[in-house]
Amino acid sequence: MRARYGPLLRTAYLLCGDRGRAEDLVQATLAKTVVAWPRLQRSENVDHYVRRILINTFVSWRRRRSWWEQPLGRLIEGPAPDEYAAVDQRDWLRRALDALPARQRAAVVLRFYEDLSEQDAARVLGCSVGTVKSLSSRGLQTLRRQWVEPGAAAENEVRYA
Amino acid sequence: MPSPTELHDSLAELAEPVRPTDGYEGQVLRRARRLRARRRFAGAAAAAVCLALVVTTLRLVAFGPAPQLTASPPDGPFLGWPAVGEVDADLLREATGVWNSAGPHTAVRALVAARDQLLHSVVVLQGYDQRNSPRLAFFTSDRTAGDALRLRVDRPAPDPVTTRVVSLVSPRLTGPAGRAGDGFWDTYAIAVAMPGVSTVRVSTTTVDDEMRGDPDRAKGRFVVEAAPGATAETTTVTGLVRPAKLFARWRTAFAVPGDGGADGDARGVRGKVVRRSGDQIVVAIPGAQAVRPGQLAVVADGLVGRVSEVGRGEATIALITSAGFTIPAHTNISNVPGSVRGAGGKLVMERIPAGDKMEIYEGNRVVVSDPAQRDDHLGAVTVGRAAATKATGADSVELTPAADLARLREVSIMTPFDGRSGD
Repeated sequence: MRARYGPLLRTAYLLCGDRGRAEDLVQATLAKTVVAWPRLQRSENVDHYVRRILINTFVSWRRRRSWWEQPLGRLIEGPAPDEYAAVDQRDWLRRALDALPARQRAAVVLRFYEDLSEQDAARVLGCSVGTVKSLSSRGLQTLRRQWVEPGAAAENEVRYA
Repeated sequence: MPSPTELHDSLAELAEPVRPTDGYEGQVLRRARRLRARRRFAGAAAAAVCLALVVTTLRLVAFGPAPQLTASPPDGPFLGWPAVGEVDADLLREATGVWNSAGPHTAVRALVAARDQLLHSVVVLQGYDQRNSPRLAFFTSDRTAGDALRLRVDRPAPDPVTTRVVSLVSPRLTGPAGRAGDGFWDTYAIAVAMPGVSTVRVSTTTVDDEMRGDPDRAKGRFVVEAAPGATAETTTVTGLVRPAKLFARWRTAFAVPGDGGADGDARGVRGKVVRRSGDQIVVAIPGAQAVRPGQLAVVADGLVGRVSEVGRGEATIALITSAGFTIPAHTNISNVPGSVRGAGGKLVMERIPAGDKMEIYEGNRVVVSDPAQRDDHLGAVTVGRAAATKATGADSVELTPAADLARLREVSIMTPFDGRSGD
């Protein structure tokens, strides 16, 4: 648990965009893993199983309004001063991730952070390889648009998670 | 535009500052315990709901066979069944009086005492006669004498342990004792079954539209039904049981031949088939004094043949399909006359008169009068059905025998009433 907690927490953070929720998500994932441990002991790929629980729990929580904050309205962001470019860029990336639907976000994180192949990502997400391609492509497209034109993106409506 | 590598680096940089807080192992284990407890509770609740559903379903819905009927304990040598009907004291008194007029009876108890739409009054009594023999007697109203009760049959009491139904099928239930009612239609069947039977059904092979399939509702264990042209030999009394559960299916508790024997009725002498040679069968009739050549041999479905010879404890019967077998016949209801002749395995109705109303259509029932009856139409026996519609101008038509002559195990030989009631 100790060895995997940190990496899982970071993946969960990229999925949730919030440290508290990431902790919650990882603990829920590991609790489910502990409960299923007698069965998992015979399994060869525990990491794959844990990652799948993490993604499934994240996607199902996102569907639940009670857990995930829903936007009450649209907040129009004004242009921010360009004082700390690196900080600004992380902030834009976080906001851009927040703007992605849950499964697109999971696909992007699995493919470009966890470096999973399309086949492995498909197994974790429980979908076909074609769906993974489509989800990650659309997610990447959205990220690139906001990455390149952070200034322009500020004029768009930003959806807070 | 970021390359996948740049995106990976950016994501890693974004996630890099995230570090686990202390005490997360304890929190994970606590959550796991809670999750286990929740799952156990949910599992137990689901199991309880399933069990409740299964129990409820089993209580409401019938699966498997219906429970077996439990026989009532016998009342000495009599049936221990509770009485059916209104058990009107006046009706009982009248029936007992009628019975005692033929000799005193003791320990009389009612099996049926009911008013009925068809027969007006029906009483069935059990009691000892003056020789202390247990007897069973049927009484019905005489329509020609202000519905006064008449004794129709006085039989030995049936076995109180094995009997499941008692019945009487006769055309002599509505007029003076021993006299038939007004023709073919005035034949009735009375049946009373053991407790636990939901409904009793009377079917006869003399009526084409005999009831089949499940009854719509439980009519009870006592019935009176019209059975035109029927005799005890052509009647089947069926007892059906339906458990008081949803979707429960009717179960046949018994299906037995009807009982006859009212004063004046022809009597069927049952004989087992012991031999068969060509177009003849030989049946065993030990001690049957009343069997004579010329009498008809029947089964429930119809005519088998005619007694050609009577020996010691045996009777030889010429089958209807044997060459030389000839008997006057007529079609049922339409009354087209003719003569049925066996033609070496076949059956032909011939000598059909020409005329407008002398048509015979495929499937028409052809019957023969029973010489043991006192009337051409009462208890007429079905010999066969027209295999095809009679051609215009033709005077014959081929018949299909009603009885299955290839599978005869037991037949009844119809003998005339010998003046003794019921024994």
